[in-house]
Amino acid sequence: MSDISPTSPVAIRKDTEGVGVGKLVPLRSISKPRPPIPRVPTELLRQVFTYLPDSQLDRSRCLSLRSASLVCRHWESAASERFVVIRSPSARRNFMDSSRASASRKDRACLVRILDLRNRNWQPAAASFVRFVPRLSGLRALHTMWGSASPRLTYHGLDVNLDLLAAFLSSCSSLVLIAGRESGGEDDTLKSTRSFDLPSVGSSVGRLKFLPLLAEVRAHADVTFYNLLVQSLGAPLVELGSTGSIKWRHYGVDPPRFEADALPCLEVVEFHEGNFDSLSASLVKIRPPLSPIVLTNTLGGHTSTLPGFLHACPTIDHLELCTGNASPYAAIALLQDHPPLTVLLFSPIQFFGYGMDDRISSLVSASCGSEDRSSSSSISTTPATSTMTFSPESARLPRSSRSWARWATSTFKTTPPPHRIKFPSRIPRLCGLETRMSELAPCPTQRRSASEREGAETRGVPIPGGSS
Amino acid sequence: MFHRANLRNNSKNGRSQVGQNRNSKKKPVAKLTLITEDNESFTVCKKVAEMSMFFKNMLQDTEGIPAPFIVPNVSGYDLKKIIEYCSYHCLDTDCPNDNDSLRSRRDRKIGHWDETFVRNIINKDGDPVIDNLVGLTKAAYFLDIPGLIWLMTKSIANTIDPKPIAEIREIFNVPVPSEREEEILQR
Repeated sequence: MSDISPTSPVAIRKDTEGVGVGKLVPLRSISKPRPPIPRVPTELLRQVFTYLPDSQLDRSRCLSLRSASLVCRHWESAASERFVVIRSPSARRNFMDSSRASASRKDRACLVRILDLRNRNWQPAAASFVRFVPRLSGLRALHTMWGSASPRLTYHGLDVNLDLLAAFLSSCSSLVLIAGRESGGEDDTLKSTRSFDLPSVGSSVGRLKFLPLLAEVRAHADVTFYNLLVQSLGAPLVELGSTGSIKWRHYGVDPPRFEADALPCLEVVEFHEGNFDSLSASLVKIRPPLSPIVLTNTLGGHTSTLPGFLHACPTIDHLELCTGNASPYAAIALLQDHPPLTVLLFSPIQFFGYGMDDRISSLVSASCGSEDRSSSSSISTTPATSTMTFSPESARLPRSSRSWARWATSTFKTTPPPHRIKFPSRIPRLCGLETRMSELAPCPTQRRSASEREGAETRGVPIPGGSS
Repeated sequence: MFHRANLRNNSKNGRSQVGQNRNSKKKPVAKLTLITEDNESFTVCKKVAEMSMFFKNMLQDTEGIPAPFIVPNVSGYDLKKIIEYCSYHCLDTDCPNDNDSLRSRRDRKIGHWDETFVRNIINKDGDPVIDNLVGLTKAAYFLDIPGLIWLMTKSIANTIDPKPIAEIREIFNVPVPSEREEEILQR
């Protein structure tokens, strides 16, 4: 008590000894609470939020701005001007009405940087919103997601009225990102009259960094529009997605082709259910620096396009392959000449009900040298092949690589594989099974003539069922 | 005073009369004395002070160098850093300004000197940068220095950018809102 001068600040500490009187201790001995940070004025917060990235291509949907808007009410008011989520028709109506209310409100519409449309039914108000879209001149990202954020390499198509999309593309000169949700329900939208400005749509598409295309074609105009979008893609494009297939010949239109120097930044490609064969030839010519690639049921009845594509794009290190039309074994065989592959997500059976999933999984996994794996779908292996995922998850998986190999070999020796398809003798970067695979009985149905095999090998095309 | 001092120095060095005349015609460097709200005094060249639109307009209005000028709302530390910034950038023609488009401001990258400048903005205790960053941003906003406002706001944005909500709250010492309030925010 003696060291406390009358002028020094004191605080009463809770009496823990039961004496009944709290002890006086100098405030210095108590940890000082952190002084509050000076409040950032709203004008400055707006400027700060201007610099937050909103076009992240991993579809994180502007997490930074979203987080900022949830910090406190003060921040929310500054951030929400730039981040608008429309969940219901009434929210859409309110947003449009509030922007029209006064001159200052009108300015607010052009401040909107990210628009998240979560309204399924656009038809009743599409026309009025199309007229409203030019006022969103500062828009940089348009999200039409539904539900939770998707994993990185899961394709989501757009679910926006096509007229609305065209309005966004032609009016919003800063728009660089369009992300959509799983497709569906565009029946009526495709029938709408397309009175939009096609050249400005084309130039707008040229600015995009990410574009998922939904090829649900019902008329000649749809094919033309699809081709316009594809051919308008410009140098900034980093991620391209396409789902559905178009029969160009049926509509008397050639598939779109890319210029020689087009898409120098293209890194991610997702093709789902078609169009890969048509566009891959063009993509092979431009040799984009692709890293991940997702192909779902796009290889058609044969796997001739993928080897050339992989050969043209040696940077591909992540491959998601879901194929049902072609033999899954043949699909694996394609990978043997592609050493950079570090991630392989292979789902041959999940969608199409073939009965050989366990064997594919076991053979590929065994050759990875994985030591410890559970029954989950994600398996960590050697650095050369860092991640492999298999479907279905219910496969009974042995625990160590040795037992995997033993199990796989014994399984194949005792029971002939269904469909009589022989595994390739070597799987890319998946060493370890080579000798064991050679012990397997050759499959007559998959055996090719020597001349055919030689011809293919000289072209650098791996042959399913061929031995090296 | 400055002018006379120059003349005296020149005569001491035994320069010629022609040289003296030339020097005597040379326009003296105008200086401005600024006093902060915590009574710290700074003397700056007019050129440096004119980086601030606030001072530039004031100098134009007063048509000359005013008496020591008290700068409200700006602390000594902030003004010191502002002078440091303005001294470096006063001859920089490429400095961000209000005429720049939003896109160019957004895409512009922070230079090496600016990066070091921001990194050196620390508390006395060496504690979080953000206190002084915000203080300096407000001072730059008050004195209307577009380049510094850009630098500070961009730096704050970089601080916020990859962080989750809880961390942002901690950095800016924002109290955690009540459940009810958080629900409203989420909505």
